[in-house]
Amino acid sequence: MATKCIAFHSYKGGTGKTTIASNCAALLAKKGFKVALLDLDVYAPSLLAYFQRQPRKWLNDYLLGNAEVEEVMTHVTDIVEDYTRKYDNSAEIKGKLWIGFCSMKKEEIYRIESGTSETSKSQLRRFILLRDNLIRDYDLDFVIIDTSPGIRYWSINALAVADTLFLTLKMGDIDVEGTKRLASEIYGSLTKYGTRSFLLFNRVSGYCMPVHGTQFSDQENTTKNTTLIDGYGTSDAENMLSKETRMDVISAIPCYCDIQFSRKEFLTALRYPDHPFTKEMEILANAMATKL
Amino acid sequence: MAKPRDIQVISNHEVFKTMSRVISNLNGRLDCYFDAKNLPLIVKILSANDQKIMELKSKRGRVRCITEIKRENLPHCKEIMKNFELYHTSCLTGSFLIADGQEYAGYLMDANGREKLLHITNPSFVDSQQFLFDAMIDRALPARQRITEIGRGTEEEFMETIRDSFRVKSIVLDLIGSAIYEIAILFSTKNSFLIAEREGILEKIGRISKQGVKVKILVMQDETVKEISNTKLKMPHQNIQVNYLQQLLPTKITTFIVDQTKSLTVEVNDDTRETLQEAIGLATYSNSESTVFSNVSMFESLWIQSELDKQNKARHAYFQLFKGFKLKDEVYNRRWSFDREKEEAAKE
Repeated sequence: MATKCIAFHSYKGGTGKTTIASNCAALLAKKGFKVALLDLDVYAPSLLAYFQRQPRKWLNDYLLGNAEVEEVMTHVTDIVEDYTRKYDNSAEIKGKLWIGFCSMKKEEIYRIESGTSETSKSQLRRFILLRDNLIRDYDLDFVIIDTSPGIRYWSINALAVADTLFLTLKMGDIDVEGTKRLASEIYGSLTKYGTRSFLLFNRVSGYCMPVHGTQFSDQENTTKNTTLIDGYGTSDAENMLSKETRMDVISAIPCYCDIQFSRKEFLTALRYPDHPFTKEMEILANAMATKL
Repeated sequence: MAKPRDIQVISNHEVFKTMSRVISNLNGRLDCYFDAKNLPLIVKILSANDQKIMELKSKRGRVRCITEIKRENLPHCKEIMKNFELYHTSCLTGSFLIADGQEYAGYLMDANGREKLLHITNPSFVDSQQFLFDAMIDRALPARQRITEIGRGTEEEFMETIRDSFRVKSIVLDLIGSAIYEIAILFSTKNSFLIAEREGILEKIGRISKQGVKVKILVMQDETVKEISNTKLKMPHQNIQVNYLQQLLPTKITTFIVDQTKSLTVEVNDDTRETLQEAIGLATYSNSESTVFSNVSMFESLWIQSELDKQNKARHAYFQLFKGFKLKDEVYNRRWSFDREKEEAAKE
């Protein structure tokens, strides 16, 4: 299988792209795929919160030429294995997961931000080299990139380097005009070069689930409420945006209050294997493996 | 205290001559600070000393200029950018140049249009002016950035879809002609490059590159394409760089990006056709920052990728050449002769 390079992007922050990217990456590894997850949300990195592992060096160091690939890629397959052993009665997983973490330190962010056009180009060169080295030396099935939201230097570069883009939208908080503009000016430009792009709806209302650990009912048994966006119902809004942006919908993930209001970010897809959110992640992971 | 011969006041027709003489005696560095109204003068002086400036640059000399870059003086700025590192500062008044950090020439024009030049070689005065110039340049904006700002700020943002292939050709030629410092072009197929050659687009690119515009062309790898790009672009024009795509892009597209302010992406409908008009489909022409930036980012990514592919190819060829030689072992286990000598000496 050729390596797939997928970028999770959004117009605004707080759409859940990091949660989805982290959970998808972990699930893909659990399913036997070799995955690298890169934190390219250089302005507000947050992957560390999900994996709680201190890297030897940061992606920032690599981009600035102060670290090698193997120093910044943290092997976290054991985290996936621990979860699987503990919560899914399975001892071994065949896949692998590496993460490139981005530093949260203010000065590190400034160092990336404050480059001249030449240093920015050299950082882009290092980033492309990173992707190529990962594909060649780590024999990966997936490179997943968590990007910065909006139209910023590193978000556009991450999109240009990926071959598939997921535009994550949080239902109930969609800036229709902004999304349309993003789709036509950025995604429209990139897809002309052969990049594929999809809409990924998050927190679609109507599936609110109670506490953890209960037996979850099938999706068919839940009732889909209608949240209005500019006068549209949920599925109408999905269709409308899909039509307006000329992008297909890869997934529409319902809103689960227990995840949304959880006090700590964690890998729900591994911690609660029977949670409907996990099922949704599995559907998305399968789509990533088979449809792209 | 300055000696009388350290300061000279030169008038009228001697001004141009003295400035030219200062430049013709240069050894390593020229720093110019010219306000917008006096820019034509410095352009004239520099044109007259073109050879000297080129010679200085070839010896790794440094030629820098600060001025106020405006839309109206862009042609002059473009001229200066051919040989100078140009910077922008707003509301600049006064004009002077410093040669090799040793000679200062301050230009003045009175209300009656009489020209005067203050020629000063007093070391402490020249040092203080040099310090002022260096401080100014630290705060100035590089010309490219300023020109991009002008390009974006003076026009309404637009994104236009064009179906008329004759108009597309005319936009391509106008766009190339309007370039001030940089053109990036992607031909995703061999034929679109060949069509561009037949349509005179490559010739136009060659002409504009002679005016100091840097051109990057990315094209599908092919022997005919290589030959044409070597003979018509790379060899005769030092400002043109051509890189080759090793893998086909999923779509057939030709992209023109000028000065990072405008982009034109042209879909290639029928790549087998002879003329541009017959071959192309829809085109998108825009100066929208996000569209242009996406195209720039994609172009840069493909450009870098093509360089990495070239390096990989060379590396692969190298390893093929030494196949079976266990290169790694040789590198890491090599025992240098002086090491052996030391070991042998220790044994004895």
